[in-house]
Amino acid sequence: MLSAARLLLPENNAYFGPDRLRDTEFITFAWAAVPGANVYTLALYREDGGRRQLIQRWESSAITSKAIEVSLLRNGTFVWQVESLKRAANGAIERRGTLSENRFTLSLPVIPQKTANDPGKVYGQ
Amino acid sequence: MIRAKSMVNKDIPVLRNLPVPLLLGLFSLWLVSGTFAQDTEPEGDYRFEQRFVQRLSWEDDPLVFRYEVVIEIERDGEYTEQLRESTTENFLSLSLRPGQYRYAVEVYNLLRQLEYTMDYVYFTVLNALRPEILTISPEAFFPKTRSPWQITITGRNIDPEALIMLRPLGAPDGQEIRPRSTTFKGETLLLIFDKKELPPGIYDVYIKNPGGLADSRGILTVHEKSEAAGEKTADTRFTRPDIIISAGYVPAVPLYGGLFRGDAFESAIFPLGFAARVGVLPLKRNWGNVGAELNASWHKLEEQKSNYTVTAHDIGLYLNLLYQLWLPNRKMALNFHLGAGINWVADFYFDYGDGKEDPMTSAYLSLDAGFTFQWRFWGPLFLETGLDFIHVFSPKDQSQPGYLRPTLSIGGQF
Repeated sequence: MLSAARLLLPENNAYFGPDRLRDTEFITFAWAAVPGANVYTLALYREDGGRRQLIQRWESSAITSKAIEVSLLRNGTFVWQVESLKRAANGAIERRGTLSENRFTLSLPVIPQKTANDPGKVYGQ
Repeated sequence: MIRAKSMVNKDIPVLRNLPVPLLLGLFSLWLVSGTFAQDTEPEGDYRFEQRFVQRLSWEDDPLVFRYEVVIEIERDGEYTEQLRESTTENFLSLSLRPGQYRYAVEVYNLLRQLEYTMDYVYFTVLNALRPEILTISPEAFFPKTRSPWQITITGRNIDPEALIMLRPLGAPDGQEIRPRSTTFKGETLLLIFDKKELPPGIYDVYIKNPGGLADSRGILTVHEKSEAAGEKTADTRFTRPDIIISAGYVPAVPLYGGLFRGDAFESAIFPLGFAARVGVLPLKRNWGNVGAELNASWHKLEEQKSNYTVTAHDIGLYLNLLYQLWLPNRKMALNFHLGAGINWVADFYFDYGDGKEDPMTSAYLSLDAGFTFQWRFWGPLFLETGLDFIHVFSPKDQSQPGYLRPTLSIGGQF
């Protein structure tokens, strides 16, 4: 059994509000390398009333971070899990690691409906 | 506004758009004045082209990542997308051509997702017209002028919401003078100014349409001293005189005397005739314009008798005083002239069928008095009709004829 990956970013129970989302188009998930592991899987869930709904799962070879577009998300609480694996040359899993998981919350207020202005008399040629 | 330079179009749009009869009229003017003989625009010249910018705006929200503006144009009752622009600002500057449009703003939240779309806003891009000042009257005010200080402007494309003002020449911006009242009568504009707000000086008239295009024309002089006193005015700068050029058809209708009737010519009218005149009006006042004109005419005198033919050419050249009075609509004017000149009866001979006799030529002092009525139909160009009375002094042969010259001509005042 491989040891659990130490999750780095985003920190556990991180909060993503307007200030944090205004300037970022991606949320980067990062973890520390696990000795003996050559593959990592990252799974992202949305928690809804105690149930977990899988949004997407990624598998990477020896890479310990993944940037995900915020456009995949919406308001709510999310769980992200990393599992370290050791795969043989033929792809078969030789050893599994312990699952590591963190939570983060994304909350954006509803944008109130606004109106466009009448430009009035405008001229062209 | 954005200004961009482009090559000059060498076409002459003014001439290209004129109807054929008008071109013929202009051609006859050209024969007289040679005005159009000097088109010497250099190669590679440039002009500035104005581009119009429209600004669309909407309420901003800090929770918005970006806006996407969809602009649609109306064609045959249907709106089709013409432009889609993304912006993080709450406005968009465009350069649209005249037409009917509508636009909607798509709102994207901080997750870069479409949150909602604002309702359509319909708008019209109006055709921006450049105002054109054709005439200004009067071109001078004097302190003792009793009538209201009214300026009459004729022009084209002047929007009722145009900005109109007098600008003192040489003065910094912000010293413009707005009229106390503005009245539109068709293409004529009546401006009333408060005497106290017009200090002596030189002004130009500035008109800017709501679209931003403007025209200006001068010079309006507000004098410091009375005109009647003949005192030195506040400014002695030259005010350009008006030039009048016209040409047209002029028959001759004998009234009395023996030169044209008597034993030689008995016709009631000599229909073949042509006249042209060039006038200058350096004195322009509230009560009218005053100047002088040179008037030239030619008539063919010919009669077929039972046993002979009599022929002559009547050539007149007169120097007249000219008084011009504009009617209040500034599209019509009355011209009165009085002067004297020379009448040549040239190549006057009888032909009895066996060859013409030796021709005779005589010159006579003549008097010219008359009036014309002008109607401006296009810019400075006018149609003119009127009547001249000519009296020829010929004491030696006691004939002393007089005749009328009805006039129908075309011309321009520049």
